[in-house]
Amino acid sequence: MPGYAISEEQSEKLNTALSDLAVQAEADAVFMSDCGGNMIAHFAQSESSAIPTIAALAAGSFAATRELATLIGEPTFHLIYHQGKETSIYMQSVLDFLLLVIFGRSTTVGLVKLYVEKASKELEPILKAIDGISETPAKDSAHPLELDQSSGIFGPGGQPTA
Amino acid sequence: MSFVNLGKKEINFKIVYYGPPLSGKTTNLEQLHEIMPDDVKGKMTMLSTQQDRTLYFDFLPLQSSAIKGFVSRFQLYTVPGQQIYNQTRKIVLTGVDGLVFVADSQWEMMEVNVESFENLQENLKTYNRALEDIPYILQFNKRDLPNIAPSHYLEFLLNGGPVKALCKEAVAVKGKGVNDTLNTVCKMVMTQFIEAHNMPSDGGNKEPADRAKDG
Repeated sequence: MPGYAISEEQSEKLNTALSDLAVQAEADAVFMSDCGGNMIAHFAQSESSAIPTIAALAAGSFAATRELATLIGEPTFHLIYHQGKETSIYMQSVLDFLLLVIFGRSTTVGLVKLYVEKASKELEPILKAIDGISETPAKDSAHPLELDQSSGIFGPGGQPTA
Repeated sequence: MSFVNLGKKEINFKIVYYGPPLSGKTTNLEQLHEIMPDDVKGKMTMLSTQQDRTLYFDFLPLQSSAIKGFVSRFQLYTVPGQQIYNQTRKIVLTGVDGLVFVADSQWEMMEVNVESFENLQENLKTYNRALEDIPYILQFNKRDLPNIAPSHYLEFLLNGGPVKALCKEAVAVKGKGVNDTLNTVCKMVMTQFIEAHNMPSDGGNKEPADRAKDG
């Protein structure tokens, strides 16, 4: 399975679209992940170590919701909204990807939904351009891929045991 | 399905721990979380039932600088072993890059080991994928218990496919073998990734079976 890659330019375009959405919708954070739980781009007011976990849980949650839709005869549910006391989450599928917005009481779900719809239209052509491994590290001859096993895969603490 | 972000110089890999109920999949991740240095590991998340059985999946993100010039992010998942959660197991397999099949070495668990292994292959078929194409390891867990089958018998049951998988013995509850298993599967996944991109690596010209032997 070759996987897929996004170029620096695509990464920049995605980041710009997500930060624009965050500003317009007055959101705390905006994430884009794939259906396998990989975070492909994000914009957050503050960096957090929980970001990979958020992507994994969001992808899992969305996949479960898709199965629920199938069971009741719907082709798919394309959005999920979790309402919290202080902070809420709005998720919407964009092609095969997932757009996730975390927002507080300074904005409303209606506003978030409105700007997510707008952002989705801008994101679609960028996401459509991501095709397999047409952009790969191998193209960048300045950085040939090589395994460095001098200190174990996960550093000295992660050395294989005997 | 590996994902490369050239803007951030990141490569993402997904490793799934599969196996029958109570074989030690969650214990593997718990021990890894315990062992790994703080700067390598992220938050471990467990979606469990009230009885501490895996309901959806467990998740542990790790990062490495093993591929020069890139941050390699490994997302470790377990699946729920119980039969009723097959749909969930399928979901967790989405985009998997590497697999660890955690088998329970106890004699009475041989049938469920085989059932779970067959279930893994069936579930991969739903994504048009085959076990032979994915780097995977067989981990024979619970080797400290008295009533266990010999490793060669487990190999006979589970390792008869066209590609011979590497087998590792483990006592996950004591942390024995868990790091070795992870390091080996991660190395296999990265080697396959590098080969797929036609770039040189230490194991670049080897067949999958030879890579497995190298560990």
